[in-house]
Amino acid sequence: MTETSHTEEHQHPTADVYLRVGAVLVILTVLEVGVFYVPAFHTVLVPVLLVLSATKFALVVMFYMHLKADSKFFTFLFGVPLLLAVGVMVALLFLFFGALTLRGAAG
Amino acid sequence: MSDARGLASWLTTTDHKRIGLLYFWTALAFFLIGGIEALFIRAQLAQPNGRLVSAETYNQLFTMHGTTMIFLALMPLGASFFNYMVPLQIGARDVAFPRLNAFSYWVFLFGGLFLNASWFVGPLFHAGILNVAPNGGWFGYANLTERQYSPGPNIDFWVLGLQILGISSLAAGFNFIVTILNMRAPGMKMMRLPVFTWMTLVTQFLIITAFPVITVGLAFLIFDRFFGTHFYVREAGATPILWQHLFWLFGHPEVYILILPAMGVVSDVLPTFSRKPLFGYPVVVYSGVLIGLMSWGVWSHHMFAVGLGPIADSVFAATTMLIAVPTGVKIFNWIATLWGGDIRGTTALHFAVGFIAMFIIGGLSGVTHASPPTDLQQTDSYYVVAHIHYVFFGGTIFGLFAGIYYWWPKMTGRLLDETLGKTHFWLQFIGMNLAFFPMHLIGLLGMPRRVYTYAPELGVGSLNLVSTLGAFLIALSILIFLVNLWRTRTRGRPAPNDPWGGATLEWSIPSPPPVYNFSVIPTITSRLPRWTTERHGPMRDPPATPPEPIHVPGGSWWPLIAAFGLPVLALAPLTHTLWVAFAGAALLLLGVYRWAFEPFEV
Repeated sequence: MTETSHTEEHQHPTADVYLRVGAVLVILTVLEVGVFYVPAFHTVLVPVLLVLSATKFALVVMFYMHLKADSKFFTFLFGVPLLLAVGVMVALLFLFFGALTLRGAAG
Repeated sequence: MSDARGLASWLTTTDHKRIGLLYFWTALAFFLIGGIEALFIRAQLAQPNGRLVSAETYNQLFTMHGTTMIFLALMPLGASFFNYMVPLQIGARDVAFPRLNAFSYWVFLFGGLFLNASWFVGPLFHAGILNVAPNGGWFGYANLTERQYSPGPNIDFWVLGLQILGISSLAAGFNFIVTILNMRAPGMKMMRLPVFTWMTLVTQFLIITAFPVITVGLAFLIFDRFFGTHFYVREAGATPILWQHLFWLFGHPEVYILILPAMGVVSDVLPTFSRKPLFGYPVVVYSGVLIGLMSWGVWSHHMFAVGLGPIADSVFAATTMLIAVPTGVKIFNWIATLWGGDIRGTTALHFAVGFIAMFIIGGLSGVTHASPPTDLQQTDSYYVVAHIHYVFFGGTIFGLFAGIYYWWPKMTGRLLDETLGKTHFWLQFIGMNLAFFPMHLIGLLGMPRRVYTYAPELGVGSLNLVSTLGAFLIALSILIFLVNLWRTRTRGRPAPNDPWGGATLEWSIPSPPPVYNFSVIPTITSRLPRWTTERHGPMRDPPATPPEPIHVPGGSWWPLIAAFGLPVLALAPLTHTLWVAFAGAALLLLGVYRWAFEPFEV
């Protein structure tokens, strides 16, 4: 119909794919809970959890939200606000915790 | 439009055109209420030591004026055109989710009524009438809004009302994004969309990304006020600055949510009345998208007085000055569109050109706030009030009036009177400059905003009197507009399909359009489908009668019932009554459940 809907004719994933992705998500969740109990991970706990949860997020939006099978245009529409939101969050955290000050200047 | 008559046909309608009209009349009513509040404010300030209203009433007046105009008048007036025009401009039969559209409208109506009920329900809270309306300013700064400092129900009405209205905006936002992306007629590529539809799309993205931020901010405040949490309580180790960040993270994109639709209207009106394609269409579109993106990087310019530090101040000063670039680009494109055109001075064009002129003044005073040292002199003074009114009144309202005069024949089948229209324009134009220009001087001379009176020694008495006269002149101009609307109902000239010679699809069908919009969905081959261009002839208009029957889904009660659950739910914390919460939730769930299983296609 339109230039976006031309590319929407991708094949949808089968139930098998959904189940496999679900299994991966379960394993990742078990890992997330697990690393908390492993002392060796304590020093890098936050980065490890961030990577694991980002992976889960990516899997969910790719498969369950169909972005992988849909037009790239939708990935763009989803990705740009996501990047913007991450940027705004980082800026807000810096501002909120007063990290954006010149040495010696009031902030 | 649907031919069905009677109240029930309007209560259950899912026709985007009827919903557009419902938005229009409701928003116009709230615009008049917000205007009357403004007149009280101006009458109070007409002379020093004014005694028309008390300080408490004044606080409620300016809070409700701001809240009403932004959330109940300007946003829904824009929504009225999104509803009516976007499906017509993209060649669709309706929006993607017609019942969700009805739900958005009813939630908006109930949210607006809930907020405004606060004027009259004082006695239910052991207070006088005109005593429990919100009174913390339209941006409700913490920690003034905490229970400790605002013990009455005033802020409760505000915080709960805004939460309800947010649901309406979000539902409509998703609906219009899906509509514009998925419901376009064959050949209606993104870069062939009318600019109004493009700006609607950008606005909806801003809505669905910005409203969650204020939802979170308001949820924190609700928890603080009702459940004893301490998100904004300094004594408990929190910082009220969190509210300012959350509010302005929403608040600045909100400014563009209000102005982008007006920019879209003007970008459609100017080419029609100068008989020229919009100068630099892609640049105007990209500028709109860029404004949408950049609007997320400027929020702390509302907070220069907080003391965020020189790095933060410098960054936000720079981003704020930068956002003036795409805005300026648009202005030059509009002027270039007029340049050398075959200009017809209709009322719609008057308002569109008025928009450009007034928005330039508002934009320039905005650039003066972008510099932190000057902002520190201007902040919380009437200078800022002048700026916001040049942007929202000179900008958004003028742009929306351009849209009203342009699209009214399409929406009602009758042309508004041009003589009355131009009288309306000139009175409003002179009135707004009399009302708001002196405020720049009043502010720089030291009059703070949101204070109910001032001493004669400040020396701003005569300027304030001029400003008040201007406000009443605006009221007169609006009265003339209302007379024009009323006269047009019976005496307006019947409008043909295309009274202006417009280039876009909405002008190819009858005025008002039939319930199915297009008897045959058109195929689009050009950005200006109804005009002759270098490579394309004008499209053939769809036939007057459909060659084959067109199925149009009927109405539904469930969006209305589901929407009614929300104000009932909001009454529960207000009255501290648990069963009301269950009743509201039950209504909402019942409405949503029955709606989900309702066979809509038959």
